[in-house]
Order: sequence, then C-alpha cells, then structure tokens
Amino acid sequence: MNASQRLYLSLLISLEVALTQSFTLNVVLYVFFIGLLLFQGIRIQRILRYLFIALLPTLATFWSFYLYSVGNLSERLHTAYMMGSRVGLFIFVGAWLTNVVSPSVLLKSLEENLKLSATFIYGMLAALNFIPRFKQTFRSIQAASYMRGQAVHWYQPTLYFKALIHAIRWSEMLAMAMTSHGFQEGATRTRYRSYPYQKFGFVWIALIMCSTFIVLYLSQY
Amino acid sequence: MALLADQLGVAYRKEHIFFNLDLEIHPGSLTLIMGESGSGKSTLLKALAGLYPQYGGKLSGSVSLDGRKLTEIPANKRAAELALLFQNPKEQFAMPTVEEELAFALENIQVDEKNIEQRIDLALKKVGIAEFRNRSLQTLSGGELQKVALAEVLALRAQYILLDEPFASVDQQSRKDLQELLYELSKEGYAVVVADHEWAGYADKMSDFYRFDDGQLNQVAQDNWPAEVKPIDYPLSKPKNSHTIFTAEFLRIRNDHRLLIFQEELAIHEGEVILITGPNGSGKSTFLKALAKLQEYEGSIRFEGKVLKKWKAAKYYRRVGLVFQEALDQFLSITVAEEIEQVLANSYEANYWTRDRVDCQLHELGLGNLLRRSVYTLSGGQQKKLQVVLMLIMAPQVLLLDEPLAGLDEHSVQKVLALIHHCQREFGLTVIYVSHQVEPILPYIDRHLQLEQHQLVEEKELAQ
Amino acid sequence: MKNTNKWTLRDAILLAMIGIIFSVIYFLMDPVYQVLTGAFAAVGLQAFTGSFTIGVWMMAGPLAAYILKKPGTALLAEMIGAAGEMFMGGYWGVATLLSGLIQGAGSELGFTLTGYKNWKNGLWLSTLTGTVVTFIWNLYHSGYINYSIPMMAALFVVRYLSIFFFGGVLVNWIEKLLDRSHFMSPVEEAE
Repeated sequence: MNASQRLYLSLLISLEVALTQSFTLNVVLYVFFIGLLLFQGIRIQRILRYLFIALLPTLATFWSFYLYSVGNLSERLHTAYMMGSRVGLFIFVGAWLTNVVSPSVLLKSLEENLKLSATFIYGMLAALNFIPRFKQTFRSIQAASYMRGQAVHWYQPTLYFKALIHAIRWSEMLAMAMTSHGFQEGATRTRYRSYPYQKFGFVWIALIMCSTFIVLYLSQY
Repeated sequence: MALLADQLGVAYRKEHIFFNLDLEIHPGSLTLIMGESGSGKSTLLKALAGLYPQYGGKLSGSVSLDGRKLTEIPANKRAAELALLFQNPKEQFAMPTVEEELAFALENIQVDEKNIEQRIDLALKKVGIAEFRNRSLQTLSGGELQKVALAEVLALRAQYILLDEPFASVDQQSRKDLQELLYELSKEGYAVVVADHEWAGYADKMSDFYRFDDGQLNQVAQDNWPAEVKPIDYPLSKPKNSHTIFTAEFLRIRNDHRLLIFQEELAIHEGEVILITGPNGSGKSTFLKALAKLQEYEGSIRFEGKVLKKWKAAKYYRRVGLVFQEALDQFLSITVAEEIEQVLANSYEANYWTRDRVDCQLHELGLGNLLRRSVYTLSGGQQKKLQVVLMLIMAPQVLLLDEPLAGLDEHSVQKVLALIHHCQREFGLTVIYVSHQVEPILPYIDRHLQLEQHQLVEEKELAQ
Repeated sequence: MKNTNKWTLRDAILLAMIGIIFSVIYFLMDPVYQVLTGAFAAVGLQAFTGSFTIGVWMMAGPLAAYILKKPGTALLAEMIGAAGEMFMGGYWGVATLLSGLIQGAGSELGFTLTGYKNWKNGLWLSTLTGTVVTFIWNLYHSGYINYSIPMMAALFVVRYLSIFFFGGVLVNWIEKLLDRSHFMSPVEEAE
C-alpha cells in the first residue's frame, strides 16, 4: 500500500468502528493492528507506551458509560467495553499510519493520487517545518507577558493573536523564499519521486474491509 | 548581460524605503552592499530578486535582467537565472530534508527526473556537503543551512546570486568558507551580490563596494575601502564588589546539536553593566536566552542563589526582563499608547515614571507623535526604541538586551543608550548587552565578556 | 484582506499555519485535558471533558475563514490542525482526522449558509452549525446516543457554550485585534 492507500484504510476502519457497536470487532482489530505494528518492526516498548497513553482515557470512558449509559447492567457493560476499547484502537491505527509514513510523503502522495493543488500541498509542507518554532513562540509570548507583569491565559485572545502575527510574518517569508526557488502558483511541475498507488493495495483494503464485515456479521457482542 | 536597476524605488505602507536608485551588476563580479540592519538593504535585494510587487512593496522604476523586465518573467523561469538567499536560514526552506528541498526547487523549474538527480549531486559536491543529502534540515546549524541554500541556488543554475545578510546566524568558520565559495563562484562567472553589516573578509574578494545609508546607495572607490581589521580598544573589566546575582557552573549550551558554550564558572554582580561580544553564531543571544529561561542547557545557572529551573516563571520574570531581538516578540497590545499604559500600570518604579517623564522620553526618542499607531506598522528602528522604553518603564532588577541598537540611526543610538544608563543608575539595574554595534556602548560598561571558543572570557585589571 | 477566491501560496501557508497553531496548542494543553478527564472521570462524567474543551478545537476553522475569507477555508484549516496533531503523536490517533473533518465541515456550513457573503454572520452561524454537526457525530462516535436524554441535553448545551465562546466570541476578538494592528494590510492609518 502506498501512503494514500494507508490513509484510506485508516479512515475506513475508524469510520466503521465509529458507526458500529461491536466489541468483538474492536478486539479483533486491536489485535490485528498491534500485529501489523510488530510486523513493521516497531519496538515492544513503543507499544507499551501507546498502551500506557491509552490507559487513562480508556478507563475513564469505560467508567463513564458504565455509570451513565442507558439500558440494564449487561447492556451498559457492553457499551462500556465497546467505547473503552475504541480509544486504544484509534491510537494503534494512527500509529500504524504515522510510523512508516512521513507527513511529506503522505502529502506528496495525495497530491499525485488525488490531483490536489500543489499550492496547498507545498503550503502545508512548508508550514509543517514550523511546528517547533510555534512551540518556542508560545514560550516567548508567555515570558514576554510575565515580564510585563501580566499572565497570558488560553481563554484570552492575546496568545492566539500573537501566534497569528508570527504566522503571518512567517507565511510571507516562506512564500517569498519558495517563489525565489521557482514556485509558481498553478504552473506545471515535474516529479523527482513518484508515489503511485500500489497494485495490490486496493485488493488488501477490500480484503481487510470484507473480513471486518464478516466479523461484524458473525459476532454477537 | 547585466542585472540592471533603473530609478528603482520601493514604498511600503506609503513610506519610501528608497527611491531613484540605480545599480548595475555584471556576471563575474562580487558586489558588497554594506549597511546597518534596518537600513532597507533587505528590501533592495528583494526588489532585485523580483519579489515586489508580488509581496506587498510598491515598486517604482524597474529592474531588468539582460534587457527583460523582471516583473514580466514568471517565477519558475526567473529562478533559473536569479535567486535570493535569505537572512534567516530557517525561514527559507519548504521541505523536511536536503534532497527533498533541492528536488522541490528543480521540480518547480521543470527539470526532468534524471537531471534532478544529477544536478543535486553536482550542487551538493560543489558546496562540499554531499554527505548532507539525506539529512533533515532541522538538524543542521545556521552555517550548514546557508550552504544548503547556496547549493539549491547552484542546482537551479541561477547565474545571479543575491544574498541578504547570509551570515547573520552563521559561525565564524562557516562565514569564511562561504565567503571563499562566493569568491570562487564570482571567478567562475557568477554574479554575486551580498548585503552585510560586517566588513570582515571581503576586502580581497570583492570587485564592487557600496554603502547603503538612508535609502542612498553610494559606490565607494577602492582607495577608500576601510582597512581589513579595525581593532576595538575595549576597556578593562572592573567587576563590582556587590553581591552576585547570577552564577553559572559547568554550563553547557547547545543549539541545533552543536555545542555553543561551555563555561566552567561565571559570576555576575548586582548593578553591573556588561557587554557580551563575539563572532556571529557563537552563541551570544543563546546565552541571553538561557538567562531568560528561554533556552535549554546543562549544568547550572543560579539567580539569587536559587537554580533557574526552580524559579516559577511569573516570579522570575518580575525580576529579569529581556528586550527581545525580534521586536514582534515583545509587544502585547496594539497601539503605542496602549503599550505605554500597560507598562505604566505594572511598573516596579511607578514613583519615578510620572506621565510627564514618560511623555518627555517618548518625545525625546521621536515616538511622541506615534501614540495612536499600531506597533506592528512601526519601522524597525521605532519598534526597537519602543521595546527599550517599555522595559525601562517596567524596570526589572536585571535587564537583558539582545541587539537593542539594531536599525537605529546614530542619533537614536545615543539617545537610547543615554536613557538606558540614566535608568540603570537611577534604579540600580543590572544590564547585560549583546550587540554587534560595540563602540557606542563602551563608555557605559563595567565589564566586557568576549565569547570565544565556547567560553566567556574577560580581561581584568590586575588585583592589587 | 481582500475577498478574492484565488489562493496564493502565501494564503495557503498561512492557512496551514493557523491549523498548526491550534494543533500545537492542543498538544500543549494535553496535560490540562488529562487533569480534566481525571476529575470528570472520577464521577463518571468524562464525556463532559470533551464538551467543555471542544471549543478550543473549533477555533482554527472559523478563525482561518474569518481572516482569509475564502470558501472551504474552515474545513481545510480544521483538517490540517487535526493532521498536524496526529503526526505530533496526539492523543486520539487516527480518530483525530475524522473529528477534524467533521468539525471543519460543521464550521464551514455556517459560512456556506450565508453564501460566503457575510463573514460576520457566518461566524456566529458557524458556532451553531458546528455544535449541531459535531453533536450528531458524537452521538455515534463517542456513543452519546447511549446516554439518557437529560444527559444528552446537558452535553449539547455545554458543547454549544464552549463552541460559542471559543469559536465565536474569542475568534471575533482575535480578528478585531488583528484588524486594528493593520499587520496584514499595507493600508495607511491615522497618525
């Protein structure tokens, strides 16, 4: 599967899980995606870390539905199991996608496969490089504010406004640099690396989705 | 065959940055345009690179490349002939890795797949960074990034290479390497134009020299070129006997995976005025950031005996303030008046800062008529002056100033320094400067710390 | 900013950066969210954590739309924010992408209903459409449909208040600041 096809499968699976109410399916997928992650050669510690991250929200979700969902005890228990197991499942599907696919490969694949506008794709790619800069900026904004005897709060506009000021300046700088490097909106570009769909990718997607339907059909819980 | 500016002018927000400017650049030359930061040379280079009016500046006159008007050549054709390297090496790349970045540029000008491979190889080799090919740009230092930017321009085969303060965050060795490289390129027939505020290293390499002041570009005849090194006579350091407020022990500061500072010990005493100098990219600003709790480090820094990491941000920043290098980082409100009101309401020296005194200072610095203006539309110099005033009205016990004189004319430099030192004495502030404009500050300092080979060292008077 | 439907590279980067600002904010807010989750979960009301904080998540779209004033902006900004958070290693994995899509579509709908003519009305409308669309989605995705009616009503109200404040009041406020700063437009201003 290429990056786009991986994204399609992840989205289809999460949509299916979100719209069905089967605990069995969740468990099967849970095991399946952990298997895929191990197959990708991911370290066990990593998987344990994901499980740890998932622990609190899983328990909290379970508890909430166990107490407040409708129905008798066994119905509530089923809902609680099902909702609780979703949390970790989504994390593992996300990990399966993001561990081998970098944002730049994903974006370039989507550009090629879905014929998306290069302006958007490269605009996004350029902006991604600024994630660490924004983290620093938030610290500076906070410090600058304290230095003036004032705290910044996340429910006040200053923080967002200042971040926006930086975003506006950086977007202009970056756009200028990219223009200087020959980027022209709407112009034809050549491709150094190509990211075509993989032949059997869609077969795999179909197989996996069909299997989930069979699980859904057979499972009672 | 030339890049030609004819009666060129750029206005931004109806303010003329410069106008009626003529310049002619020929292949096989290395041109240096020298001017202080904020003098508008950045704008000039952007205009020469054909980025206006697309990016906001209003253009008058024209720039032409081999007889064709630059504004009529689309960007993806222009880049193969002329390209610009930007001041901040971190703000000019679109892609995550070196190879992807170069490929991006070559795809833009529609080079086919096979030739992209070849051109990337050649360009990286030429700049001597073949081993960086698959490196992530995030892991490279300022100097390395500028080499990548240069390789990108070479891969595009642009014959005219414009560089806007390319060494601003580049260490001394990389600066030398890059200057040498630019010199070789000019010998090979490239036209190289560098805008810089520092003179070192150009004399034996350049063919033309211009000074850019107050929107005027003046060519300087070779006979009048300044001497290569202009040694500065630093006063000897006289540390005060007052109690120490900062102590550093086994301090290691890294940035972009490179060791910048390794300091076994350092003490800063209350009420001292300190100037830190050192080559570009050596880590002066980074050191100030570490003192301002805005930079990771190993080892220990203590403020008033307590480790910095244990100070709560809110409390710490009441005592220690920073005039940021980047003016946009400083401001909180919109208009000049709002900013002034905000600090007046929070000042630690509210008794001193009466409205009359504030008004008087604002007028003295030429900010008096700008009260209703948005701070975000002020010129670079006005923003600097406002930053300094705001922090002086706040009057924290320690004031760190990162390039407080950037973009100021000579007159303003004197006014700003006089104000800082008046307040310093009045409130007993501890002041630490990082500045590349050194001489005007010398009369005011108690200590001079030179950052060389990862250490802050000072020449002291011999103890009796 | 001029209301033209043509996207320049600069606009596209700004759009993406707005998305990223919020993905970073949310990422940094994770500890807050954890504490809230813990607190609410103790009494089994963890669904309210999401409803309380949903508004922060719903800021990127309306803010981008209100600033850039182009159709599709809200949807795109929200999806970029979601993708950014997923790649940073955010909390909800791939579900973030779906939520981004739904939240973006919800906000976008408000602006669409005004025919992309009145951006101010669009903003207030988007807080309502955003609430309705994301609530319906959560009926299934977060299983709200399994809750009793009063609980659902409470969740809806909390959600609307949160979106109204963050996605409406606060966004409007931020835009006002930006407007007064004249930072985006090279327009002359009063001395």
